[in-house]
Amino acid sequence: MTGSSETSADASGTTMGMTAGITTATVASPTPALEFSNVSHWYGDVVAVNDISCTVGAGITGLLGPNGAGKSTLLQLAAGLLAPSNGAVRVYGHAPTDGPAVYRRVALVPEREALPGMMTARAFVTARAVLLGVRDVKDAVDRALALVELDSAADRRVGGFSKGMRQRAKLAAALVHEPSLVLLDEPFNGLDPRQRLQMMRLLEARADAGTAVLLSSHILEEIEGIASRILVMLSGRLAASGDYRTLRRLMTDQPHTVRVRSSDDRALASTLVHVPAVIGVEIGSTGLAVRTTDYAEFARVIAPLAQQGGITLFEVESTDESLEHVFAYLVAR
Amino acid sequence: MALDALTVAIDAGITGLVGANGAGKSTLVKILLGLVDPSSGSATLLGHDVVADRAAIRALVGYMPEHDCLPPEMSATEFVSWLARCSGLPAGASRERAAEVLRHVGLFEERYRPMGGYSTGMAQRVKLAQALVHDPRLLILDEPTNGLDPAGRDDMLALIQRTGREFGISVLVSSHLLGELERICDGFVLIDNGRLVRAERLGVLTGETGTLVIEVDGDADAMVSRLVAMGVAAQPERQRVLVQLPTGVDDDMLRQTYDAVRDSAVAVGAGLLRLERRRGHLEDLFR
Amino acid sequence: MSAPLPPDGQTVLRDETAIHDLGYRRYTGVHIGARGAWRALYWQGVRAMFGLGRSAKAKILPVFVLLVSLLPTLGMLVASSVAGGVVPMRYGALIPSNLALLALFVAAQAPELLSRDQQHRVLPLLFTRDVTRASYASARLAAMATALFAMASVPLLLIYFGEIGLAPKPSETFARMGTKMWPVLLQSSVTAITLSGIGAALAAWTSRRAYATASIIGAFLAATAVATGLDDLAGVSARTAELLDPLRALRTMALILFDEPTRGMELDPPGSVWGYVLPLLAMGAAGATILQLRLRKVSA
Repeated sequence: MTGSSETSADASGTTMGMTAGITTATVASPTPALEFSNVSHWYGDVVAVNDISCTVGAGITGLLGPNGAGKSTLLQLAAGLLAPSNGAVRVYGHAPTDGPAVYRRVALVPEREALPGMMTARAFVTARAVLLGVRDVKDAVDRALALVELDSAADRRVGGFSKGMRQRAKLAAALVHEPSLVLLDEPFNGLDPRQRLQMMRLLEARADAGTAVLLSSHILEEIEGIASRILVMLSGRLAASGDYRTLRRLMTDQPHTVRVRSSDDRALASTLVHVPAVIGVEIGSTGLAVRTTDYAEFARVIAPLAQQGGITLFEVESTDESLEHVFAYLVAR
Repeated sequence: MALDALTVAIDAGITGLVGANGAGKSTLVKILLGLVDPSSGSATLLGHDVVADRAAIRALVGYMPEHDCLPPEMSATEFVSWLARCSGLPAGASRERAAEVLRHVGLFEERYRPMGGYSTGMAQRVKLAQALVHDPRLLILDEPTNGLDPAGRDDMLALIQRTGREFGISVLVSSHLLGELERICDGFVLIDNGRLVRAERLGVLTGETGTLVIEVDGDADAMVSRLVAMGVAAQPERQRVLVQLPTGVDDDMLRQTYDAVRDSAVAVGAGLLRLERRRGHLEDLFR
Repeated sequence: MSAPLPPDGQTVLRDETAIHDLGYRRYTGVHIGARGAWRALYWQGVRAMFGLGRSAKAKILPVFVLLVSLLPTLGMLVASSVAGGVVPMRYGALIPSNLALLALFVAAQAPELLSRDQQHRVLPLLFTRDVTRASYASARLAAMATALFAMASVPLLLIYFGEIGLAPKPSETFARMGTKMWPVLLQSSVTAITLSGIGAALAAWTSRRAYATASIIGAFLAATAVATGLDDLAGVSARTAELLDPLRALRTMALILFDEPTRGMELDPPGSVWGYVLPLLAMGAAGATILQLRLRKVSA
């Protein structure tokens, strides 16, 4: 645990060019980037984080939840800005406040604007680099600014920046010391679609290189495209974690609805009715709506059934596997 | 220059206004609302010239701003009926319209309490109500789901759809949340650098492409090999199989491709989780 | 009745059973246009000046000002009635203290009408309606002037009617005094116009009410300081200096109007009352213009 470069080399073996954060099973990287063990934190009577245990590894993990769910608090606990009232936070096995060696591996991009308007972008990022004891400050700053595409505007005052540029400046300051754990609090707030895509690409590139990225949002569509591993927080508790498609299949008390369009819907429907996992078939003008208690089983039988009946399948799609449905289900529990 | 010789015709129904920050969206909205005069050129809205017929337009347009605009000590009924009067409705009619419109947006007993205590969801509803109270023909909404949690977003989007479809009011929604716009809009307008880039029906963009996306529960690579062996243009993409549908062929040939997909899934024993034609997204405009 | 009877024999009148359409309805009533809008702004402004329609705390200052301005009046009335109604009422004595109270009143309440709307960002909702910057300004000014006129005139009218009512021979007193009504009205109007113009001009510059209040009070204090300084130290004549201080000018104007000159005024006669009315009205008009200019800059 001496320098950030070594850990990046470790972690880069895991992701192999995939951004989805599917990591730990395939690699020998024993200490997760971030681990919460029964962590709670309260402000007076308000329990912002309530007994949360989870791990975050390389790749992009989305932290979801409504406003006030405790996401910002969780990120601040991870960064060491707050000490948990209960439980332990571990960053690569150490407490986040354990000294410069740990500080240098973590970066937090907070939600609030914390930029001193009179500084230039370069000055801001440089100050950060110096504080964190980066060697070759100038090179690191140049690289960070180039990474966020602020190199041309680097010597302008931050106060005159647009919202997107400010976000990028904050990100550059966070990345200048090449942390292996990056925490972002609502990073897409106020960004237009192009700026959001740019930032997503940036984060995906970092994740591909082995960085662990944990980003929070209360807007599902922002997270959906970028993170398949999610943590869902509701009122301070961890409601669910993992890949959201897998989560959907875990929601076994909620039958899936699958839309099927074929060359002979009625014939297909009559065979589907015999499948035990199918509990209902609705015949509509745009195809069938099949309700099933076991999506995987349904997926296994649909092609053979169609083949046997000589029916061509044009479309098979689950209509409630989106992050929205998963989230709505979790909120309602 | 914020807008550069912009020419656009917006259809009835629900239209999404998209563009980068600083691309001219807010300037366009301000011109349509009569808050700013165009430096050159003209704009007609609902048949009235934006500069010459400003008074007529104000009665026809409702505006829901992005920012907070509710005085905390007033109640929703007071506020909305006051604004109705500021739109030129008589006092009695203002009260009635305010009550009606608050019911339509789903505010019941809460409407008599001071707005300082409202949740974001309730506040957004009041903002929509004040935009509707004078019965406009066009509603301009700026980031209407700002600050709402997913359930609140759904409610607001449903409300906007009702407004556009059932109430017979044209709606222009300016938003960065493209997924939401795809759900409710009939058409879209893309502005970049003060210029109109595209304005068309949503279906033109989100129509189906010629690529089939297949998600399988099983050996995707084996399936790809089988398909290729059958002469289908298939390739793997992460956990999925992508198939290029042949173009310029008759329906029978197309069906053969679909059948090949089905058969190869059976042959390799893979579950068919998803089979659909890839659609375009508003996001593609920004790539 | 074309409907067949239901089998159980009960009569159901079809015409009375209906599901009513509660869908959205178009508004097909009259539009009274900009006049109605102006009136809505005006009345809401007048109510805001007195803290009506808000919590009790908002009413404290207006009530305080009203009561304190009435105390000397009531005191005088009581003294007069005890003395049998022959003590002549002195209007001039009331004016200075009342002016200070009115300055306080406008400093506290003007922000409620002007700063508040900016703070809560309500202006875009108004300017996209039948409200122009000019009509907004005039409605707010009119509301402020109305409230100030009421506050300024009530004590004076009380004395006026009190003097007539308490006099041993009311009709005689009225005949003698009848002419005192127009000074009351003139004094109150000019006070209202001047103070509302100044208050509105200053309140419109900031969205934070506390700053607006402080700046209005500060402006009055500064004017007094400058005028006094010029008068005492720079040797400028008192009559000229006092035109820089609206409160002092109003006071002198009142003393002229009610024919109750001070020693200083007897030594250095001020001249015609119009020499005060016109500059004060000009001050009020300047304030209104500044308000308009400021509103034009406020982005909606």
